[in-house]
Parts: sequence; C-alpha cells; structure tokens
Amino acid sequence: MATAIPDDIRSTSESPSPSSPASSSGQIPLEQPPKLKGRHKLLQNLQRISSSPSLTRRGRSASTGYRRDGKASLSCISLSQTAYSPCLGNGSSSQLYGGLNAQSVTPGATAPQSDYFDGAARIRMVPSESPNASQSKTIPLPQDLRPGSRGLAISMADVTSEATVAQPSPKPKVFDFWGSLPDELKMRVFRYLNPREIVRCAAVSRAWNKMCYDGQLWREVDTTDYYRDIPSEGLVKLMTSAGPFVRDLNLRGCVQLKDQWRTDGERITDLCRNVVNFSLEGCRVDKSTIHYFLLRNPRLEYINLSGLLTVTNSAMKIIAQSCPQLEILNVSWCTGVDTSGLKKVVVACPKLRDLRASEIRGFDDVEFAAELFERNTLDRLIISRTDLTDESLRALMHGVDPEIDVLLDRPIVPPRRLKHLDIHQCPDLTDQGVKSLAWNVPNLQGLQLSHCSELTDDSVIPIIQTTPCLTHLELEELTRLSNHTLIELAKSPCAPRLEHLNISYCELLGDQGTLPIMKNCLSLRSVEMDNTRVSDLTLMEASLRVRKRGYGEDLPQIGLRLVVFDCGNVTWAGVKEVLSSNAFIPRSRKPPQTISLVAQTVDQGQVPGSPTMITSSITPPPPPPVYPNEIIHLKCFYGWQMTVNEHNKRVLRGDLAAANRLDRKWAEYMIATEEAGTGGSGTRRRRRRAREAERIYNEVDEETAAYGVGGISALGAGRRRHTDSNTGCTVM
Amino acid sequence: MSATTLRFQSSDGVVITIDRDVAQRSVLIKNLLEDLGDTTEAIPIPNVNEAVLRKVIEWCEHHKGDPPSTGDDDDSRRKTTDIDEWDQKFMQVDQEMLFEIILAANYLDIKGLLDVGCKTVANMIKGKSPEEIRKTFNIQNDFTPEEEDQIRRENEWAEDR
Repeated sequence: MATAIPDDIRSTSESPSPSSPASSSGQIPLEQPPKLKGRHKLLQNLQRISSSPSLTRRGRSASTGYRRDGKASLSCISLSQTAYSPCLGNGSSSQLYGGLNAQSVTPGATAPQSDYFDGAARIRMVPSESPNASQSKTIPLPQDLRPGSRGLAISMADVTSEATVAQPSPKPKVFDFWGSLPDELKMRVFRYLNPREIVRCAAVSRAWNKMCYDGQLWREVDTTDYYRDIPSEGLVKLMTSAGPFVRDLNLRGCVQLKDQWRTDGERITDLCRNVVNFSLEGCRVDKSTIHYFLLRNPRLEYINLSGLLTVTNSAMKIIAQSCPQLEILNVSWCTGVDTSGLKKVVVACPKLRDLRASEIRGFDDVEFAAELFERNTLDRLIISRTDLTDESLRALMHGVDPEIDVLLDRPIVPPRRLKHLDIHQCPDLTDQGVKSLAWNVPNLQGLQLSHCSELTDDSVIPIIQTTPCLTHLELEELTRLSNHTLIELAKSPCAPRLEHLNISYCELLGDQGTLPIMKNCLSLRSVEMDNTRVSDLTLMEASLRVRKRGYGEDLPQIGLRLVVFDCGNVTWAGVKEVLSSNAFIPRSRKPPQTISLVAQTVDQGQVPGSPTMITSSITPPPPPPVYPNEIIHLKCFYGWQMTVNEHNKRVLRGDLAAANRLDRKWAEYMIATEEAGTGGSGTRRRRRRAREAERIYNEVDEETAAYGVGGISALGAGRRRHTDSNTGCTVM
Repeated sequence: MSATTLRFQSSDGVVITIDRDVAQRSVLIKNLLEDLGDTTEAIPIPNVNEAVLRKVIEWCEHHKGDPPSTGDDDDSRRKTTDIDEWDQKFMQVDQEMLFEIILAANYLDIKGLLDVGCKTVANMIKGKSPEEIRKTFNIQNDFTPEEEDQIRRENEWAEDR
C-alpha cells in the first residue's frame, strides 16, 4: 500500500493538510444530508454554506476523471486556490468541478469510468470496487456509519477506496486496511489460519513473508497434517523461525529430516529451547542430536520417542538429569531402553504420571516395580508385550513384603492411583500375579488383559468386583475364561458404567454370559464378540436395550457397536432382527396421520365462506418425523455386511421406509436361497423363486446406487415408486 | 443500587445511552465502572466515533446472553473460522468499517467481537492465491522475480492438491 501512495495525489493533498478539518466537516453534509439529524444537521448546513471545499468534495472522485482533460480544472483552480495553497492545483479544482457536475445531474457513465481508469493508473486498485465507489451518493458504507472520528479520513471514506488510498491523512489507517492494522491484530488474524495457509501467505509480499515466519505464529509446530508433504528444508525453516517460541513440537513420522538432523540439528536445538511437548515418534534421528535436544530443553513435559532405535538408556539418563518437569514419557518399541534406564527417570521426575513402555525389556525386575510402587504417581501405565512377571506385578501393586491383614488376607497398602493399565500379551503372567490387582486399583477405568492366555476366572472376577470406575475392559483371547466372569461383571459395581467390552476369541463364552451383560450394562457403546458362542438371543437382547434408549426428532446415531464375526450361532435371522429393530418406531410414537384432516375441517367450520384454496394452504405442516435416538452398528459375516451397511446408511439419514424395504427384500432373498438349498420336490420352483427374489434384491441395490451417487434423479425417484408399489410401502 | 443505563460520549461528541449489562461486555468499561463506581456523567470513549460505537453496541446487545469468554482458548480458536450467521451479516461492511470495528473491539476489550472481526479478516485470506490476497488488501508485490520463484518452490508443499 504505502508504496502505492506516493503519487501526484498524495503530494498535492499533503500540502493542504492544514485545511483538512474544514474539508472533512464540509464533506459530510453534501454526501448524504438526509441521514443526519438535529444538531449535526444544522452544523453541516452551516459548514456547507461556509466552506467551499464541502461543495467541491461532493463529486470528488468523479471529478478526478476530468482532471485529465484539464479543461474545467483551470478555471476552477483560481477559485479554490484562494482558500488553499496553490499546489492544490488539479486536485481541488477538479473537486469543485465534480461537485458542480453532480448537481447538474450529468455525472453519467463517463465519470465513474474515467475515475476507474484514473484510480487504476495511480494506485493498484481493486478494479471492481472503484466504478461503483466513485458514485459517491450510493456507496456501501452510508454516511452516518462513516468513521467520523478519523477526521480527514471521512472525507475520503465516503467513496472509493482509491480516493481513500490516495488521500494522506493524520490517521492513514482507514485507507490501508492491512497496513494500518496493528501488528498484534495482524497476528491475531494469522492465528486463525492453518500452517498451509500461513505458508501460502508468505508469497504475498516481503512484509507478509516476514510476518508469516514470525515465531509467535509457530508456538505449535504440529506436522500431523502435512508431514508427508513438507520437504526437509521447509520444515527446518519452520522450526528455526519458530525458534524459542515453539512450545509444542510434533514431528511424528517426519523421516525426511534424517539428514537435516545431522547437519542442522544443533542449530535447531539452539533455537528451540522452550519446547514443552515433543514428539519424534517414528523419525530417524541420530543419537547425539536427541541427546543434545533433551539436554537443552529443560521445560519438557511430554516426550514421545516411540520407535526410535537410537534411543538408549543414556537418553533416559539425560532425561532424568535435565527434564524435571516430565509428566508423560513414551518409549515404546525403543529396543535400546530397558528398565534400568527407566528407573533413573522414575526416580528423578516426580511429576511423571504416564509411562508407556511396551516391548521394553527388564520388567521382571522387582526392584524397578517396587520403585514405581513407592512413587505411586502414575495414572497410566502401558507395559504390554513385556517380560512382566507375577512377582514384579505384585511388587507393582503392593510392594515387596507388605503387611497382610489377617482377617481379610489382603495386603495393607495405599491404593494405586492407576486409571489405565495395559498389560496385554505379557506371556509370563498368571492368575497368581494378576490377582494382586484386586482391591488395589480402585480408580481403574481402563484395563487391558488381552492375550495373557494363562488367566482364568480366578483372577479376573476379583478385579472386576473391586474396580467400580471401570469403563473399558479388554479380555481378548483369554480362552480359559468362562461365563461366570461375565455374569459377575454384570453384577459388579462397574456394570452401569461399562462402555467397552472385548471378549473376542474367548471361546467358552456364550449367551449365558452375554445376556446378563446386555441387560445390566446399559452404557455399553461397543462389544466385540468374534469367535464366541453368542447367538441371535444376544443380538435381540442388545436390540431391545438400544430401543429403550428412546426416540426423538433428531436423526439417529450409532449407540452400540457389536462385532460378531465368526460366531457360528449368529444367523441371518438374528442380524435381520437387529436391522428391523434399528428402523423400528413404536406405534405410540408414530406420527399421527389424521391431524391434517382435522385441521382442514376446523378451518372450514371457522371460515365458512372462504375459498377452498385457503383452507388447503392452511393445512398444518406434517408433524416432525420420529427416529430412534440410537441404533446398533453390526459387524458380522462378510456376506451379510453389505446389506447391514446399506441398511445402517438409510437409517442414519432418516429414511426408515427405505431401510424397511431393504430389510424385507433381504429377508425374502435369504428365505428363498435357503429354500433353494433344500432338496425334495418343488426344487425347481424354489430355485426360480430364489432367482426372482435375488433379482428384486439387486434392483433395490441398483436403485440405492442411483441416488447414492447422483442425488435424487427423476429416474431414481420413478424407480423407487415402482418398487414401492410392489411392496405396498408408502413413501413420500 | 447501580443505575441500569449508562451514557457514553463518542469521539465525535454524540452521547449514547446503553443498558449497563450490555456495556459490560466490554472489559474496559467493566473495569472502568469498577474503579469509578456509579456515574451519571457521560463516559467519553475517545477512540470510537458514533457510527462505530453504535455498531459495537448492536453487537453487544445481540450477544448479551452469551456466556462470558473463558480465558485462554488459543487452541480451539486457532482451528475454526466459523462465524455464526448473525455475526456474518453483521460483518458485511466495507473494509474501513471492519477495521474500525476491530480496533474498537480491541480498544474496548470485547473479546468476542474482536474474534469475530479477526475471523472475518482471516476468511478474506483463506483459500486465496497470493495475487488475490494482494488485490483484496491492496498490497504491492515487492518480490523480485527470483525471490518469487524461490518462494514458489519453497511453498509447493502447501498448495492445494
């Protein structure tokens, strides 16, 4: 902007600045007299009389066009010059001319055009704006909205931005929107842009470029959305410009930095000294760079080094020495780390509350477990796939040699703070160790015991009985678990809160256990039951419970996800039961059909003579449709899954009738194929019926494809009506 | 008992009467009243003229039922530039007015309005090419062709694909 200004206009108008008050005040009345009131109006009228600039002001922009042909201006100059300094020259004179012009109703099309040309020539204007703007009487910003406080600014304001641009004023802000915005507000605007957008803005101008790489904008460098696209140079540039401002640095998966770390790692680290949250997960970084980084960032609270092979116990030692604020540490899959390294961190970082160390060796070390027990600061511990033993788990839960309550036969220890514990796939664990969780983790919300194949009811039942906050329970592939566990779970204090349950591949479990779960655990959002003995009964019970979650006018949402792959006892009839239930509306909630009739008769009664047209138009809108609040999403045998998905889709978009139609067709098709499969007399007829059913079923499928893709085309609608009549379904 | 209305004088000398709770959307005025106690005098707002002040009041009146903003919501703010319909209409003004509103909101410390203003500007930037941005804000491209070329190469990753 600024560079655009220094043209003839500016120079001319700068000089008359002493007169600016007059011109500003004068301009107001002529512009839009009717909008002003009272004292103001009077004032303006006064000014109008007294000051010639006000007159000239009026047609200002239009007049600028005339400046070019230079005819009128000459004569006028002398007039205005008396009031102003001589150098006003063309500017003011043309204004006067313009004012006269406007009054004589001849502004015509030429004025704006020439004006536009003018503006474009002098300053980089947005072309579309100027023509309109030049017609001062009908500008978007009405006179009374004009920022009067800006003195001179106003005078320009009333029109064209080019006029505004050109006019110098004590407060130039108004004219150059971006240039006059204070920097802190520019930053505020930029904060609403995402990284890509900011970087794109860097190409606008030098000033913008500088601002876009201002560290303030990069307090958070989170590459999640662009780590695949950004080249290493760009990333280094971002990090170095962010420098000391960057608080959150997430470089997850940025493998492109591999070489850059070696060459620029030190420079980056020297600049980024205030990182609090740091993730290098899956990067390729050399050891010394990591060490240097950890050493120079004492504010680190979150460190994620997951999967870095170059991280070793010496890195743990550095963390222990230099990151006293550490709260969350993730060193899963860092094969160079073992518990002797972690121990240093645990001892040195009193705030550590979240330790994730899957696939780390050394968890058979009772001493380390005892150290964690002593600290008791963790609320999340993820040590899956480790060599955790019964003994070390016990030490973790109640220390070494705890005092035992003689009556209850339980160790007397303070409860663990743990809310989430993941010890899945620790092959050495047995009931003996896992039992120690009972009574000791009252705050536990999530428990992962999957794939610890030795576990039985003996350890799991006492745990679920003493964890009243439990919401997520994973028991996958505990093949020795029996239905007793589920029955106890349904009776346990956590039953009403339980949201997620995984019992896949627990091959002894069946309806006997899952039915009470469905009945009592009313908060369930997902249950995985692959490869179990559950049958249609469980599905029906689940459907019933979900139906009881109510009905409303909003579109349904998925309230429960059931996974029943490879369950031999689940048949298509059970699946159909779930589908029907999803689209089911109880009779009492069905929208009454008679309302419109009633309304019509009433109307006629009240206004006997009125034309029928009116009564019909008065008919009330149909009552809002009713939907189930929540439905079940089912994962089942792959041959049925497509139907299930399509049915879900229809229910979710509120098209219950279409869902029911699909449901019915599918049932017919399944029945027919089943019949066709059986032998005996009439086989051919049954086969034919099966083919017929299949054809109709496919037709429905095609139809959905038609309006799935192209919206509701006429063809699709027609075909739909056709199939409707087949089934006697009333749609729309 | 505190008065239910307050009077304010805009920079151009116009006195406007406003409901007290509407006026208190402005943190500046809220603090001012706390320091000042009750006053029947017209409170001068030296940086805001009548037109802008009326516009700001219009916004405050429409939003007087909003819950008070909660401190630092930097993260949530950064992600979305959605503006509700009324505010969008409200912000359909020319650049000068928008500018004045943003400055006034900043001066009067009305966070909600300032946010809406900045989002509006951000939306003027979003999805535009550098050239379009230059046009929108009347900015001159002062890069040399070489620089421009280099930036284009640097920015390749950020282009829409």
